[in-house]
Amino acid sequence: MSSVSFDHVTKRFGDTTAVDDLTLEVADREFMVLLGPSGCGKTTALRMIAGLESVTEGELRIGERRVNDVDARDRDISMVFQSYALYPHMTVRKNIESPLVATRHARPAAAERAARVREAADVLDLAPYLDRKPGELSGGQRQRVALARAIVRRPQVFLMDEPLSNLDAKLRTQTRLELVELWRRLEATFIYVTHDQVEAMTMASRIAVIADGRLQQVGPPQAVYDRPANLFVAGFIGSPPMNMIAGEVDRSPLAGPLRVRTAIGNIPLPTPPTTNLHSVVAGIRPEHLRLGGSDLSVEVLNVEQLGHERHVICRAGDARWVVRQAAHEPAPAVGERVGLGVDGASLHLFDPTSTERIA
Amino acid sequence: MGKRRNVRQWALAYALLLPSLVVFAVFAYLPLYRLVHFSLYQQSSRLGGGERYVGFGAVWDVLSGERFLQGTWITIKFLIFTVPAGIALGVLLAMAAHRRLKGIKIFQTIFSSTVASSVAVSSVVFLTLVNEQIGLLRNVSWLSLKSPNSALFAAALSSVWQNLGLTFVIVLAALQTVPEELLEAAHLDGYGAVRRFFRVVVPLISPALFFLAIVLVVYGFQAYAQIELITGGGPLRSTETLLYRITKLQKNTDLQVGASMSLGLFGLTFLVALVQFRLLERRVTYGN
Ligand SMILES: Nc1ncnc2c1ncn2[C@@H]1O[C@H](COP(=O)(O)OP(=O)(O)O)[C@@H](O)[C@H]1O
Ligand SMILES: [Mg+2]
Repeated sequence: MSSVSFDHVTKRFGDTTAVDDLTLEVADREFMVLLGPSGCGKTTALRMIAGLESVTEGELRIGERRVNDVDARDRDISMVFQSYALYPHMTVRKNIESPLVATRHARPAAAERAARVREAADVLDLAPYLDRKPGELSGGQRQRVALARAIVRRPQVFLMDEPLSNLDAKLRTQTRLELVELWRRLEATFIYVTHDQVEAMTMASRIAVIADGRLQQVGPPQAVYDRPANLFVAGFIGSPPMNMIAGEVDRSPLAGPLRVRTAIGNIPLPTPPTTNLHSVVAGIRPEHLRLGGSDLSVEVLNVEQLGHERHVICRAGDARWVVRQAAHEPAPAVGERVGLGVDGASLHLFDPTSTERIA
Repeated sequence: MGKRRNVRQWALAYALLLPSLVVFAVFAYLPLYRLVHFSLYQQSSRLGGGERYVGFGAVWDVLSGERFLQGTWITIKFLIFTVPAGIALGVLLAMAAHRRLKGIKIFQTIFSSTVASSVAVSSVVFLTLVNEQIGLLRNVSWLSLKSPNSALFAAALSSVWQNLGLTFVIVLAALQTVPEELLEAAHLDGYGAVRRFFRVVVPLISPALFFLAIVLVVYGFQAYAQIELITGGGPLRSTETLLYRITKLQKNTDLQVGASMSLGLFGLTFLVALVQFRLLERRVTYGN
């Protein structure tokens, strides 16, 4: 098992910079999720680790070894592709066995290969399908064959590129769990690419949020959720997303307690912000707003019932806000003007020009 | 009443079938019937001199005779020269084009263009290339049209070139259906470029390769114009394929021999078709 580190790694395709000066340490046995919107460079970063894409600048290491110029076959990694990339003309057994047969390093004897295929197939419940071709399997089964092919070689690092995106919602939830169990059992380093923040939040040891080829923030899921490093992360992580509004910090002692003035009211600040900026962007998560408070005033546009809770969609100045409300509380009427209470301790402040977090 | 409707339906069915039945009768069944007839009856040397039944024994005499066997052997050699080389070259070119090698556009155009040019044109071009006075390839001994050892090879080479456009286009299309991620997966599994090609690419494009093998074999059986134009069957009849021999048998007295040999050729082609169906049946299915 092994760590992976990006040291100021850049990847350019002609004029496009797919990965821009990425520095990231993936620890040994960590489940690292690279999270970001489509086109942000996640796949490219993963493919550089695999050796399917060259590194334009910087240094890439697997363990202690610099791998910039190491052939993909010699990196001791496994990759699960989004399309699964199974060999359609081979049986499931042959597909799983393939890395053991193809290796140009010490090739295990036939008996050992058979035993390892058996073992991988058992881990992923594939034993009954070993003699079928991939074309005769369901999407979920094919996905498991791809995983079995990845684990059979016992690599240092597992790379996965949106492996759940071709599964239906129910299977995705189930497979998420299975992947985490697999990770615990293998005690291996997983690097997992997705654009789905739910996958990232539920599986990751740490999340690396990427936008436009640049790393935005790295940290455990809860830490990233609780203290997003900038406006992008704040808006990207969390569903429904964080509510934002522009405002001014009001410091004049005559005006009463410290607060942020906005177009829809004032948000109290429990402690002075660690900045002398005047203009800020205030962010509040939907669960930190309370209907019936008196800090802000908004108009109810819609009420979405989810059974266990309710999302109240409001017009807040030019923006749409979402307020989370427990199902047992009384629902507001559509069109009604309501007051919102804000817990100042859960307020996020950002610099509108640099978009970085202030407090 | 049910019966009447039945009759009307049958009548309609036959009426609708009639045009194609006529076409088949005129262009397929009738010629086949005539062929069998000519092979069983010896025509008189005089025009309108009648015919004499000679029977299947005579057909067998022709098919086991030197003329037929020699022609078959030459045809098989022609196939050996044209089919594997034709497919291999087509695959090589298509791989190069598929990987977008530099300057490949030019080759792509040149080779695809043979799809649209006639056998006659490419044969004449080839003849110019090996022309004794001015040909670029006039000193290449293994292409000499003067020697019985090389003339068939020269004619075959022209055929390979003629067919290259087709092979190229078909293989290129097949290559484009092989997913890039599959080749990358094979690379990560540890397969080098060569094994990747034989273990992954070839199985996936094998239906196209089978198809080409069959088509090229049939083309080989049918090769006439390039032989007529390039070697004229010579030297020393060394390039007289079956079909070429048959076309030379046009005198009244030769008709029985020609017809018998045609039946033999028909049988050979039929065999190839059978093999084709067996192979295509065993073909792997690549459904999703
Ligand atoms: N082979 C390539 N050639 C040119 N541009 C590429 C190539 N691969 C990716 N890109 C570009 O790099 C950027 C990042 O792509 P990618 O890593 O696939 O993003 P993601 O996986 O996050 O959706 C995109 O703008 C994409 O168009
Ligand atoms: Mg991607």
